[in-house]
Amino acid sequence: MNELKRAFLSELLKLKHLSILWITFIAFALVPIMGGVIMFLIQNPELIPKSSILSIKISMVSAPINLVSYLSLYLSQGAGVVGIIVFGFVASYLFGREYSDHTYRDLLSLPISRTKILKAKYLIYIIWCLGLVISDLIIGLIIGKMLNLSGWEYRIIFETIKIYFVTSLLTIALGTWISFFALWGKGYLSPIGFLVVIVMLAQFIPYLGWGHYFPWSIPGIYCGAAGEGLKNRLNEWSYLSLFFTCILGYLLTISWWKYADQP
Amino acid sequence: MKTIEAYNLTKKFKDLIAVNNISLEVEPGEIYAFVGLNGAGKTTTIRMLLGMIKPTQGTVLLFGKNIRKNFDLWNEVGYLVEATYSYPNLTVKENLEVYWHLRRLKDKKLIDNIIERLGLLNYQNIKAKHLSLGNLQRLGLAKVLMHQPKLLLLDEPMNGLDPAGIIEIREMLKKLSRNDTTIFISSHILSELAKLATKISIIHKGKLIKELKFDELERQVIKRLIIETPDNSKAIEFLKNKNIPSNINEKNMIEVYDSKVINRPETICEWLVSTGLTPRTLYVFEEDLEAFFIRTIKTDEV
Repeated sequence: MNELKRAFLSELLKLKHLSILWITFIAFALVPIMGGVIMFLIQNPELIPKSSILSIKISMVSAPINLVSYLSLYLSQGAGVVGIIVFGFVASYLFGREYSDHTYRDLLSLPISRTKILKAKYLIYIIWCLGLVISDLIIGLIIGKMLNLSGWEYRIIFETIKIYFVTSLLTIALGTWISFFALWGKGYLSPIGFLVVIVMLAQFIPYLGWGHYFPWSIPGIYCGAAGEGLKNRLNEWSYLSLFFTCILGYLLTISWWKYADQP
Repeated sequence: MKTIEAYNLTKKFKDLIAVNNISLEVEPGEIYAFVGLNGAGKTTTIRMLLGMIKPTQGTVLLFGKNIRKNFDLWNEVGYLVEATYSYPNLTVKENLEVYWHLRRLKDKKLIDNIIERLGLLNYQNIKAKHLSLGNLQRLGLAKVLMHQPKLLLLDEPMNGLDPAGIIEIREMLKKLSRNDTTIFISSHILSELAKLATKISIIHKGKLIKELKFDELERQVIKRLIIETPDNSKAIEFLKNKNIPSNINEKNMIEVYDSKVINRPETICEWLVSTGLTPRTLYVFEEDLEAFFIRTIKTDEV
């Protein structure tokens, strides 16, 4: 335990003076902020020029204007879709930086095992992503209050927030593959490339009807971004496929770091 | 117990044999210089000694323990492999704190002590990205020495240091060695290694072609007596009559190879003066480590 604690403290220290930390918070905050702007414009349609694209877009929003639809539309769907990109970026930074900074060799022959160092990195990854999730929730609630959105019922809000957190956790779990690509590719390029491919596939595969078995589509489907019909197709095999994908990514990352040559 | 034991180390990268059946032993307190051209296999060997690269064949023991079998003595080892790098966003002190945690050290004073010892006091709050190459190298050495290891594996530790810094590090390494720290060092500054090493090994094309203690090196280097007189042809004739083999080199100076004469140059000087061939120049030339190294690898290629 002490080994993990010391590895964790060293990882925490590495985040000091990092501008990238705040950039991810700003980037992720754009989701509820943009959602708030759309909500505001729906409330005040006279502010939009009639023939603009925005006016057409807003006219397509069929959801009711209340806190629950705002939270599920712009928070949960943000976590399920934008989260794959932002959390993936966080993982690629945390695991790829040692190669980018050329410091990875300093982590290999230490009294703390290599596995513990990776576990500490995963802990930081989870905390960082949960920080993003919580900050977006706070921003979302503040915006909801500022917009005077109706529906501040404790039970319904709790249900919506639960979906938001489950969606976020499903998305965070998929970061194990990003960490593997960061170590295997020795830097940021491979995980970012993998991310681009996977985001495209996550959009495309549901059209083929297999989205509920494709791990990277599951968070988006779960939060309702792909519609209630698709959400109802999620079953235990869907969640198992995501779980085993996460575990496989984790095992590959640990094995690579532990056994591959680090020249 | 030997500090380093490596037996039959071989590393193949597909068709390339980077290290070919190397065996070496390093005694406690020894300063072992590892010399070779670029691509000779120095860095690959050092990385195998540190467990960063798995040998295709062979075993590495540090302090008598196999590094691949639950090795738990990494805190007795300090290493610097090739160029030194640090976290650019962290200050000197914060960088050392990272390794203070990773080495599971308890005494925070170790950080301040090493900062002072390596002359980084004025830079301790400067971010690594703003440091000069020399100070980055000092920070790298601080990371290596902070936990007071018994074995140092240093790959090009003098890189980027100015002459004063090189002397400072050399003296520090000598002092550590006197206190029984074993040092395994590779450097391309052979003159520095010559001032430091107690044992030298030469690696060429992946093979260990020479390993010798420093006093053996003294015996193996070529020595010549160089003489210049007002009439070198007459002086050569004179030496021939005395049964001393000599010849004229490309700088038109006389070279004498006889070890008896080389060890007593004053005798030959007296003879030459007495025959009216008073030397203008007379000195003993001794092959340095650089020349010895080049000669050794050329001999190996032949």
